[in-house]
Amino acid sequence: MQAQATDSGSSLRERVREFIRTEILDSPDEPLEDSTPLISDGYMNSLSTLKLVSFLEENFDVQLAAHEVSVEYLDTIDQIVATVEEKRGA
Amino acid sequence: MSDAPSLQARLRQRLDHAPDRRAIAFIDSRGDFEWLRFDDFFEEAARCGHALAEKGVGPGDSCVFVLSSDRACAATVLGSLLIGAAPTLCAPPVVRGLHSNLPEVVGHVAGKTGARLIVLGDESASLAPPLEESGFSLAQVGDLVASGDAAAAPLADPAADDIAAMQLTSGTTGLPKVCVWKQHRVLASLDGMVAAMELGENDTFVNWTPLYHDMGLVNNFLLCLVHGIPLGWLQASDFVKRPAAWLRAVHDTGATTTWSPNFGFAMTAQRVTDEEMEGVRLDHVRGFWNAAERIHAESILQFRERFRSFGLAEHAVKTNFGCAENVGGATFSSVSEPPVIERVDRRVLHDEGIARVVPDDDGETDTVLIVSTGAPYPGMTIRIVGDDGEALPEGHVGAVALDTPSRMVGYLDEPEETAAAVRGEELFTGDVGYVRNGELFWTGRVRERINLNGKKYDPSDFEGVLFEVEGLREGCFAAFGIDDAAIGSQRLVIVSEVRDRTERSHDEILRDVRRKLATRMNVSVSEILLLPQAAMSKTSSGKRRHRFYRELHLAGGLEPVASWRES
Repeated sequence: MQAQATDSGSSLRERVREFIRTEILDSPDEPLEDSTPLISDGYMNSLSTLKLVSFLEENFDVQLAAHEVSVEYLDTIDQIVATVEEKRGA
Repeated sequence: MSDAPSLQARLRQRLDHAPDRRAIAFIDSRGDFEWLRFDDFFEEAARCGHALAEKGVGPGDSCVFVLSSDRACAATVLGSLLIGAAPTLCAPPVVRGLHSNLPEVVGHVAGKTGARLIVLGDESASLAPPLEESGFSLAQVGDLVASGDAAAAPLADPAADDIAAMQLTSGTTGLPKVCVWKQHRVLASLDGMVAAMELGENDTFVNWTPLYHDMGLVNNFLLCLVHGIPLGWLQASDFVKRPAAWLRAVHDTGATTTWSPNFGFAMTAQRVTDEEMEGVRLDHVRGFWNAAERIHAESILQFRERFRSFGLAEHAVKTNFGCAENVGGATFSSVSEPPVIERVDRRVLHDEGIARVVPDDDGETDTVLIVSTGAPYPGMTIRIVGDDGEALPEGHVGAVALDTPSRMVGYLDEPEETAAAVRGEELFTGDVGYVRNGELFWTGRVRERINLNGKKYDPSDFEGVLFEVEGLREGCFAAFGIDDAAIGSQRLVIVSEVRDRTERSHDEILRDVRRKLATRMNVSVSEILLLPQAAMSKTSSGKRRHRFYRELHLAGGLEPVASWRES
């Protein structure tokens, strides 16, 4: 089970990173740290944050509450992955 | 049209005339909805009105709302109108933790309008402590919705000359200006729009634009309620997350009419998949109205092409020019024909201010496509005015002046700005354009304005934030928008001098500019250029500086010491 969770987490992380690179930053080659502050450093605005939320909800079978559409939950790839994993009970 | 003097009287007439008619449907994120009848929605609003009155709000009082545009917001705003208060709506934070100057904005608006009450929701609850500390009275929208008694609501009967509502528009100090709207002017706007768009009782609207935007409040919410047109209401966040939700709602409600800023057309054409469109037909739609920001011909053509196979008629994509100063829409493209798109000589337009039409793209002349925003609604006239104050002939570019029945009274406590905008009976909108065959072609702004996804900014709005970035020279900056047809809106460019003596690296400064614009203003900058100290001091100050640097940048004439560009 542990290995399965790690695979799933890794895949989730890769897919989130890929989405942000290609759909939000429009730059597949952009070096992107998992701790880069995406919202508070100005890489994502409110429109692109909502695009990300839509991607998460459609692809990972989760629903984000209004209060979770926030810097606290979605500012970095690490936070995004943790938010989704917590919701999926991973 | 009715001769009732106020919104409230017209709303009561509507209620008496057809209480069981469909009024509004709040469409949830799954696309589900139920129609509310007029009498049911009015009762809900009257309950909120009573709850507001219990909080001390009375006729003529200002009431500020900082809410997402959901059912509770709609009911309380209508409730405030029913008891004769003047609502003013502020945008709530979309992403929590961003837009940290919102307490300052709301405090400014509430102080300026003398607000009796500020209504907050869960999304804006974090504003409560600083606003309370400033002495404002606050209420939670959930408490208002739950506590009122419709039968006890003190329904108001305002006069035609009373203030109906106030609307925020971009200011020049980083804080919004407040447009003041009188009752008879709002009614003139609603009636003018209905006449120009040839709307009738068989029409149905769908809207996703927020209630705090005049497109949501006037062109949809008030227009539909006053004229008895059923209105399907989507949350803006649901549209942005899934633009297909807009078209599905249009299909499911049988809507004939809907509005969006240009970026919404571009976003929808680019993001909606065939799979998402399964079962959706658009044959019945009379008007997809494009308004509120620069209209790109490319966006119209792309949208038409993308959805032609789903039944979208060529003439159904329409154009409009309007502004908060005119309460709502001013000019409207033809109901039966597609909007006129002119290909004009870019150099002649720029250098001589004349729109010389180039019949075909000859491959040699540098041309630009300009979309007509149509003719003014019946009873309004347009003049294009030159620098000498005289009217210009057709095809000549000048300031847009409207002799309009729906103009604002003015900007609240801004006598100089008001005098510049309202001159006698004419409203100078701050736009420039030309007229041909009675139709307005919009070409830009008198004072450079930046339009980011439907929201307008004055270049000076950024000054306060840039002032806080250590290493930049205060006041030595330019901010401008660059049109981007791909996103159907503009991209923000910031040019600033950087101090010779600073301990910060240029990378640090660039990152700080991005971070502060994002967190303080919820704005994404696309490009930042740092120029050496004193590089900008030779150029003129004020509005011309921003335009000067925009042109220099587009011509590749800037030599930054460091820069950052969105990839």
